[in-house]
Amino acid sequence: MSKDRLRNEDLNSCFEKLMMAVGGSRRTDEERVEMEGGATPAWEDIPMELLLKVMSLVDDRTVILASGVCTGWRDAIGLGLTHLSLVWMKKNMNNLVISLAPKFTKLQTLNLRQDKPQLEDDAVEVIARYCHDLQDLDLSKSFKLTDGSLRALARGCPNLIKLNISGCSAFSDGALEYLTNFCGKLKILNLCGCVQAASDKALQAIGRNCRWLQSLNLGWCDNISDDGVVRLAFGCPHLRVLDLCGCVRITDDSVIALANGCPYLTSLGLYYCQNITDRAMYSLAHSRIKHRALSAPSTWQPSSVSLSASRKKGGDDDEGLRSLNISQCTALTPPAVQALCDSFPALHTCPGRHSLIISGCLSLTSVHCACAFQAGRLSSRRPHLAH
Amino acid sequence: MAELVGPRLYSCCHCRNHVALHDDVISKSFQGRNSRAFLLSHAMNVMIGPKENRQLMTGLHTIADIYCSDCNHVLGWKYERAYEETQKYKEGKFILETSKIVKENW
Repeated sequence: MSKDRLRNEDLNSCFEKLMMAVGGSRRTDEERVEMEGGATPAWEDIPMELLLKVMSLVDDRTVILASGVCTGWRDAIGLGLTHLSLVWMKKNMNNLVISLAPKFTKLQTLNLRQDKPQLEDDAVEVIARYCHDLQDLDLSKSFKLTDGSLRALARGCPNLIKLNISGCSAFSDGALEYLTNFCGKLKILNLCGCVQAASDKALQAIGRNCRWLQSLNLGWCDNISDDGVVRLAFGCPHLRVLDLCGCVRITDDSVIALANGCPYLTSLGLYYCQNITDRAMYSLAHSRIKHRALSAPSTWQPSSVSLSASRKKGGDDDEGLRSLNISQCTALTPPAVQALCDSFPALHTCPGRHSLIISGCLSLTSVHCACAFQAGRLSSRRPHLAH
Repeated sequence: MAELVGPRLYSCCHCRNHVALHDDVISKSFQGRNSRAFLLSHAMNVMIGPKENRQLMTGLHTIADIYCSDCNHVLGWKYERAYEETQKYKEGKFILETSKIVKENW
């Protein structure tokens, strides 16, 4: 009992010194006299900036606890909290979100990824009603959500830049289309596994409304066909990352449209797109040559010389394809893929850096990037540690 | 802690040292010394032993055994040279026997 009192007095004196140092100028004479007199310091008067700095260093559960300490702290944290993650919640995420969203109205980043599906429509509707500044929302694996959530989000959070609804298999394409009509600022969209939501109609809407889209994940959305991807390629020229893993209906026409419409593409995933043939590879290679010729006409030189030149001066945006996944695309032949590797110096097959993934394509094992070829010649005799 | 989905890995069965990515598997229908084996384009954290000529089911090859870098167990081999034209595609690739590796986290 006495030890507690001692510790309390230590804390009090530390706090007093802190308050003098930080908030001294704001105190009235009366309050200063009270503190000097040894009365209990006003914990709730800690300056908002200091409180938020402390909150930024602790975990999310502590932040939520802190917001319930007193009205002063609730208001301070509510006004200042911009990032929150509730992925650690195992059981009552839905109820917690319903109680927290009205308090934390300035949230910009909210991560509600679940291991067990807990979130329901009413929680998302509350978020949409109060958190209008939301830019980054992760609702992945929320199996229980229905279209009502998407429509509410569309109306309530028009500033969304990054949205992850992967695994939310109950959404329909109509609701996704509705969302894109309102959220034109979207840059990163993850629809992996949203089989019903990602349809050609939805892709058409995305191409029409989300001009600034940079990253789109359409993994395992096997309802989409060339029609949707062509319209997407036409409408989103800034696309950098596109994952069409498992989209089995895609053919060369989609890749050709992407090659022509999206010059900044850095990562393309075509895992299990077994209709892809050499035509697609050549179109990507040729579009690269065309793009380089247009952007730097004076320094364009044929084949190997230009490769080394571009590697030296190339800016980050103009690197071209950095990563390509053509696993299980068994119709491809080595000459076509080699031509592709030659046009994109950032595509590697060397150990440690390899970004061309050819799992299951036995015939493509002879394709090499330029550095692999050089390394092979140099270190042929010494035994070495494989990467 | 947030559950993050990472790359699918294969590990050494003895010490769980990561040796390969699933993305690098080229073919699953190869035969090792005792069990089935995978042909991979890349392997990591393995040491390569001395080269030797060996007569395999598909002909004469120059291969080098690969050892786990942590526990030194033999996990398979690397094809250094193939003497028949039809087998040239294997050069530079790795064989890992399924009895010596385990799936990590998937």
